[in-house]
Amino acid sequence: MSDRENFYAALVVVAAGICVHLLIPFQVSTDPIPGSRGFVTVSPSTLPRLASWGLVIVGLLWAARSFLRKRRSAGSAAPETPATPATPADDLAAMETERWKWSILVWVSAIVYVLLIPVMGYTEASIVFGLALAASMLWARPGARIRNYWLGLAVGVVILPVVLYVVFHNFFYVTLEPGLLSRLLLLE
Amino acid sequence: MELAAVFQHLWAGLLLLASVETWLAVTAGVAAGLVVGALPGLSATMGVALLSPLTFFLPPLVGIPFLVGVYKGADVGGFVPAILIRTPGTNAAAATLLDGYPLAQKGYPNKALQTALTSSVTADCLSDFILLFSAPFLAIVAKSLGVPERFTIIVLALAIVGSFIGVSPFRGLASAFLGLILASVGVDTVTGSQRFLFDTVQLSDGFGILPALIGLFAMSEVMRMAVKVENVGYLEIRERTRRDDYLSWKEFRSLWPTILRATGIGSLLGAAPGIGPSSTAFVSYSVARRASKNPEEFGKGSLEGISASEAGNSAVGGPNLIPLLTLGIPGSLVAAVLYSAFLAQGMQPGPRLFEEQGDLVYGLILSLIGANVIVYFLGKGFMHMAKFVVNVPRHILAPAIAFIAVAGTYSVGNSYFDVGVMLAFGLLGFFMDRYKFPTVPLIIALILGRSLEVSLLQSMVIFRGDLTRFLDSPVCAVSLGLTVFVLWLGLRRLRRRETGGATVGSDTD
Repeated sequence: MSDRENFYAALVVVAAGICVHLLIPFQVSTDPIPGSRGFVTVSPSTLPRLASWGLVIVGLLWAARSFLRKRRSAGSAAPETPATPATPADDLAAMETERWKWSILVWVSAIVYVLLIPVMGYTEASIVFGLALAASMLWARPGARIRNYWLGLAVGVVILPVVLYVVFHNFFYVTLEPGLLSRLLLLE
Repeated sequence: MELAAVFQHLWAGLLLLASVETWLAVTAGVAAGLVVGALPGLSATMGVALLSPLTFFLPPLVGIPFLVGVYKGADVGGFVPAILIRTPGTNAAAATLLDGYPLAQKGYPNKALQTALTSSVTADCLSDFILLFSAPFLAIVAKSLGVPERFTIIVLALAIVGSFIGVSPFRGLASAFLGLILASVGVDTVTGSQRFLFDTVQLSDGFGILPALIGLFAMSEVMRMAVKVENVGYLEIRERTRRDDYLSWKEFRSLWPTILRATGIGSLLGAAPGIGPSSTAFVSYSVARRASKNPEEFGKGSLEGISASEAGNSAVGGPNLIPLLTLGIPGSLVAAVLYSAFLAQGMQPGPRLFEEQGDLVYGLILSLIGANVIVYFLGKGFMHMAKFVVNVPRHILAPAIAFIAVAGTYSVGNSYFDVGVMLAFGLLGFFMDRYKFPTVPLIIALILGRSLEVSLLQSMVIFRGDLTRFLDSPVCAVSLGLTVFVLWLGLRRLRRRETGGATVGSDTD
């Protein structure tokens, strides 16, 4: 199937996940099961919620990938300006740049992650870090232009965690209730 | 002490097999399987799913060996049209035609068929012995696994089938998540609350596994046949024209290294969930070509090529049942059908099966080994009758399958609602196939969904809601790490496929 068809199929998957998620409050009890408590509580709606979120996440990742591939192939179909032939030294320089880009991305991400843990706790920090890294990798993928790379790094690894930190920080210091993120994600 | 118990159960199982009904059932199953396998478009899974309602009223050591006979027969039946008319009867036989058809064209059809048959039966036998000697000890290990370990292992199994089956891990995982949603339909076993019933009382027990299976694999195939009538080449069995058109003992001896190598590959890969016979067939074929002294002969009628592909796909049979028998996790479609057959017989697959019903289980495994002998002799005779089977027109076959599907589904619970469920799953399977979503992850998630949920709940109670406690258990940590690794491998496989590389694990059978 073409990237376009994959993109639409992915949107259908996302829509299916959202539909199931919206149906849950009307068809499934959300009362926590006695005995399960803590950060993540379990109710009869846990399995369908997890599954619907799974559909949405898989669909979004798939749609993003198909969209980027479609754009890349559309971009490469445009008439090319004649390029000067690359010398072996140019290729080596390009490879070195790629390696440095990924090294910086990994190190900065690790530092931000470590800083988040004492603030949010291990699990919430992991979730935030995972989301941030996914967002940044969409922009800062290998072969991306330098401008895209820095934009991805800024948004995904620096700005997004800071925004999330400010939001959760206020909630944490006001309520100090565990399970906030899970409630926001409607996992319970 | 444990070893003594194993031998005790083994002996008791052997005594249980001293029954004419068991071997008649195996013979009937093999015969049915040969027919199903030889018909292009029908799969071993479809045959097992369609015929499994028949076994619900039979004793365990009659019904389940019958189904296993169907599976083994279909495995053999599949290569007959592959070799003779270049149309594999089952996906697993796709690799066999690479060398089987050219050899038949050169005037050696019987040699090709005999090579495939003997390699298939030999490898199947060896893999059943692997199952016999490894499953009891793996069951002992599995017994020591707790609820959190079971949860993470199920997650790993779903990640494997989602990532490796089908053309892309995105489709596979979406199919698995859909299966989990469908698994949650019905009355929750823990709290008794209703989920997605939509005021339909018949959905209280959720979707039946068997109607779902029959719908997804049999009825959807009927719909595909109706939409697109395929012209299968007309099969003519030629009289033997060459004197040396047979597999000599010397030639068979020379194939032993290939058979053993392919058996090892098929057994190792087959024990993992999601890896099916067509994948192992191609892997064995590639490895055999690399190891061969005459690699240039491959693709032109090499006996090693035929032997490697058939041994590779047949060696999956025994080890494929290991996750089912030891952990209660079906790793393939056939295992999923057998899972429902086990439940119908009052046998709960899992670590306790060998303890509580050891005699039956060992009897069953021993019947697998005995079935190979029946497969060999029936298979030899079938090759001469294949043309009567393969040439059945599609417009006769499709209604026959539909009839068996409806009758079989109704006979399970005497309910038209089940028939409706079967038809709905048939439609779902048709459209999933149309848009290249694999159905295997869906059915396995449908089966494992409730176990996953219960084990998650129990884990949450044990850990008091702290998810990080999963990492305290080495088995859990390794399973979760492997899950991430498997997801990454799935993406890598997709990339390689997009750049034209070969891949493993793309079974839909």
